[in-house]
Amino acid sequence: MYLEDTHGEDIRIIYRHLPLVSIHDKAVITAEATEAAGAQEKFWEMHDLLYERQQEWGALSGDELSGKLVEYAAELELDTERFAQELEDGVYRDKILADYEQYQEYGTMATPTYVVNNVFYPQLGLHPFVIDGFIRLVQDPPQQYADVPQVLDPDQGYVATIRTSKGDIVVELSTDQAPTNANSFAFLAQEGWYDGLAFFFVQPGAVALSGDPTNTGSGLVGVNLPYPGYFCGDETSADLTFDEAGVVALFTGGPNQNNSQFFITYAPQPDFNGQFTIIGRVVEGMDVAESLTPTQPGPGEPEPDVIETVLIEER
Amino acid sequence: MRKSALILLVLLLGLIAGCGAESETPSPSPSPAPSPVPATATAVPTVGVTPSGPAACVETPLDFQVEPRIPPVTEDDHVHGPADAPITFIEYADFQ
Repeated sequence: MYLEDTHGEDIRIIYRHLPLVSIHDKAVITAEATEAAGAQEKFWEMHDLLYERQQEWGALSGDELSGKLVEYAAELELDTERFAQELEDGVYRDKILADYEQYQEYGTMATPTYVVNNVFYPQLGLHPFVIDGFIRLVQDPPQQYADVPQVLDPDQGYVATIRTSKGDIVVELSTDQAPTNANSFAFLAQEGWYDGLAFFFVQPGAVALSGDPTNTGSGLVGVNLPYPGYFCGDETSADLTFDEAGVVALFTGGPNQNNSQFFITYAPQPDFNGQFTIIGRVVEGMDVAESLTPTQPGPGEPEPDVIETVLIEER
Repeated sequence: MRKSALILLVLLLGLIAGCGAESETPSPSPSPAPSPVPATATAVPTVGVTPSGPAACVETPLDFQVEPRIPPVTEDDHVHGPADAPITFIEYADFQ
């Protein structure tokens, strides 16, 4: 399992039955099968097998399904006679249904629902690496800011130097067109927020994305977390468009949710116009931006390049 | 207008979807799922493509939904991994 592979001895996984009886007609019988297997010390083996063979047993019902479950029991070298008898007698049914009633009290009706150290996982999508990022977020929450002090003088020009493992990318900030969001970016940069974060989503011809402390891009699944402790409103403008490579904009999962995530374009992106707040343009080091390692969150992907720091200077 | 942003997100997501993630989508819930975004965040006026005044930033803490009623882990639970692990991951699910 991915979570065990990535967290090893650091993770303890608990499975609790939440059979959605009203819409999943085989949820109870399959839960019973894992319990019957568990009575013979093979709960997790049956658990894994049922997930693996969902296609196979999903189409069956009644005796055919029971028969298939007994076949699985045989495959796991269980005492099949005992297993079949326990299924038939419904030995574990009451316990499973009682637990289900209890869990409903706090509204965990969707399956699967995940809880990490007693914190509900906010349905960011079920990609293992996004869940993994959330685990890290709960374990080690990033610094939170209640407000964003003004660090940029609106009458002054500024450049942000994004120092990466591949070299410097120099961005001229749009303090006139996106004063709030350019200031937020500069503030976070000065706080060292970006130090050590990865360009975790780099697609040549599209964008390079960074600024998520979990390096997983939960924003990619349409939900952004307010990583720095705040969201800023959108500042889109008819004058600032995604008309070329090197446009730097904040990445959000919805309106007025600008936070720390940002991206650099590798090509004109007219579809982005009006959707994302542009905070600047690359004026130097576009070759560095283009040399960032193409990658995306997930197992087996290339190691992303890392931001060493972001420097803000007057120009 | 926002719809195309969602399509973009889905397209971006499409690029990262093929990693063997579980395909089961969450079932509809009778009670609204806890939103990670407090209602105050939506109070910010939407700024259109035409320039308008500077946008505001709204404090939106990473407000983790801690649920004190979650039953403690007991001997009856199906546990995989060390008892003293710093991360306890509880999965409420069925197999269907």
